[in-house]
Amino acid sequence: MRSIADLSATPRFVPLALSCAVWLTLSGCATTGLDSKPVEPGRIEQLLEPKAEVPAALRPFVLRDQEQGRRDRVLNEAMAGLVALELSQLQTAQRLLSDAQSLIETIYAQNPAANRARSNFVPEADKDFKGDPYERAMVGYYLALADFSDPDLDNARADLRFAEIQDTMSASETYQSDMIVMPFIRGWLYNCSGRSAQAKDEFKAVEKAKPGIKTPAASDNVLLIAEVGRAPGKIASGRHQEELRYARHDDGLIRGVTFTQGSQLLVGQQIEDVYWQASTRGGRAVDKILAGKASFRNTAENIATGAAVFAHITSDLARDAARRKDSDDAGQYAGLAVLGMLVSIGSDIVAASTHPEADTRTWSTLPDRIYVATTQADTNGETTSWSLGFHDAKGELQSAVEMRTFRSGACLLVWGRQYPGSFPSSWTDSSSRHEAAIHETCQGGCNAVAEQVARDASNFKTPLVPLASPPDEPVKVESSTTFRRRIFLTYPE
Amino acid sequence: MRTNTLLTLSATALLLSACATPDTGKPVTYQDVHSTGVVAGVGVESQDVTAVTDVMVKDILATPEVVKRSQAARVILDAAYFENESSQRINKNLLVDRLRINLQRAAQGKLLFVSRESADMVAQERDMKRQGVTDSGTLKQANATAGADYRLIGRINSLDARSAQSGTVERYTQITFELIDLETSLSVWSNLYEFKKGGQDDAIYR
Repeated sequence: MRSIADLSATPRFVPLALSCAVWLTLSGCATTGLDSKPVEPGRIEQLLEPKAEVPAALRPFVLRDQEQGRRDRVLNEAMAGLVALELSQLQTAQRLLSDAQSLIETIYAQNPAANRARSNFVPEADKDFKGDPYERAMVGYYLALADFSDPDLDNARADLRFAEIQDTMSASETYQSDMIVMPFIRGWLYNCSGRSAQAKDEFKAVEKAKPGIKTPAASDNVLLIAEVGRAPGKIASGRHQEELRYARHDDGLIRGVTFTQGSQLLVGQQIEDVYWQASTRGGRAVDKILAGKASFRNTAENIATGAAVFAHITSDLARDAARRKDSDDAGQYAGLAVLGMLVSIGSDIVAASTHPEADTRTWSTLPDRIYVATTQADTNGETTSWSLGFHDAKGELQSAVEMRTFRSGACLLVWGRQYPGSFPSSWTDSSSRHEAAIHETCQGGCNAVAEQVARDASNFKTPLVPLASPPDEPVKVESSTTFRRRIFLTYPE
Repeated sequence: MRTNTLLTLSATALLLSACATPDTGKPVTYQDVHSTGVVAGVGVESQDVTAVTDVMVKDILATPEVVKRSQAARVILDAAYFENESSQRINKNLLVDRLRINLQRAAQGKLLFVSRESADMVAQERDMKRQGVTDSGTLKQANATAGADYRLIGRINSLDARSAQSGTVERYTQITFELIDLETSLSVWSNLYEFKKGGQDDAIYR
């Protein structure tokens, strides 16, 4: 019986052992980047209310953070912060979102995770998530909503400035710092602090960027914000999935919003298009890195194909030589065929281990568009909550939810969303109340929503046709209502 | 044969070393508050808070109008009129509390600090003493709470610059301080602290 040592004595064993070792090394370790590495598990748990039971809506983020660690911390904290806002846990939202903000602000220079992600054999998604500029900006936006609960509104305004700066990462100067929702809210916050001069400056910036937007009066102490639609999606395209594209996932059925309280009816105006912000970023430096990885993979694949062809031809030649009983030629051709085969296998392994795929991790609970309205109200007494109605392009009410109210001094920030940030949804249906309020105010003759939809389309250069193909989700029709009510439930992906 | 065994062992070693244990984190350590931390950005950090307040303490104590008076000046030094106009979310108490405490310790009675933040608490206690709910304590009763001579105001401003191409981020931060005479509105002392920080994110984040 031959021992392993005897086997290794054959000359063929040496390249075979080496190629096996290389293959095992590359295949076994190249993808470790995507494996879960809980470097600092439980950060989100630490940021939640101490000793309080973790709400069901926040539990998935706690578990995900424990599993995914720092790599997805910004994403998990941002999504959890949004859910905390929905639960009206403003201090929790502050802690989660400010932690995400400080991670975004951290300069990643000579960072091992970033270095690793630049390697040909590690996917871009291995890096710690900081998000695209629009996602980073939205961290600042939600943090500003959470900071509204502080008596001092300085930090809320600082958050909105932070958000605006993130938008300056656009490659094209035309689209740099054009998120007008930020100066709009900041101007209103200045009015709340009694600083009308600064408020005017902010509103001037809004009017300059979008002349059709109506800015608040100095006496408007209530700001109503509605978030509509599904988050923009990221799609990896190209032969090796190395090109990042953005897609509007919202079907665009909802094209207008109304706010009602008692018999008061306000029509919201569109102030932001989040998908537009995502899609106008332009070329990224990382795209060149990914293109380089894709090119490397193409080269490796070409070498593998060429070497396989070479091996095939030389093996045919070896067979011919063997038939001619020319042992010298047969031996030489067989050696070359083996060499070609080894090179082909090696190159194939290298190609398969190369990861040029673009990072498509997305903040999936962001809205597609943001709408606002402002009004003046007596905020001293207890008031009924505001209801947010979602309308189609013709102005017909599709559904409505109760809004959240945050107070700072004499100012109220009222906030609502079409899609919840988690399941179970924390938004209560108010369709019947909303429909009754609209009926009472309009007496069946309201064109204000349809007119505003046309103005929004003009301001944001969006057509009045569906924005994207509708997602595959069940549509539930309830017989008790006179209008089609859509069931809005989504899980964070 | 020895060469081949060596090769086999090397291949195994390569395999094992390539699949070494991933980063398991670092235990908590105390760090110098004057030093740049592991997590560094371009905003105000602990070393900036300590540096700016140290400079202001020295400068206020070197201002004769404030500290060389026959009677110790009374100063309100809190965050009420200290504005954050920067792009960084910051707890302003970090600055004003350190400034007040270090100033109080260094002034050695040349400055007295009036706490307006405690006004409600003090008023409640005074009411209870005067209504006989509690005794008068060991201190002499005052006719009124202390009025102030000066109040600190200030502002944190920032100017951000960013290059989309190079990924360079720069922030100029300016922190201003003023002591305002609460009778005349005159500014009796002012100073500013400014710094600029810049960094470049890894290309993978651009």
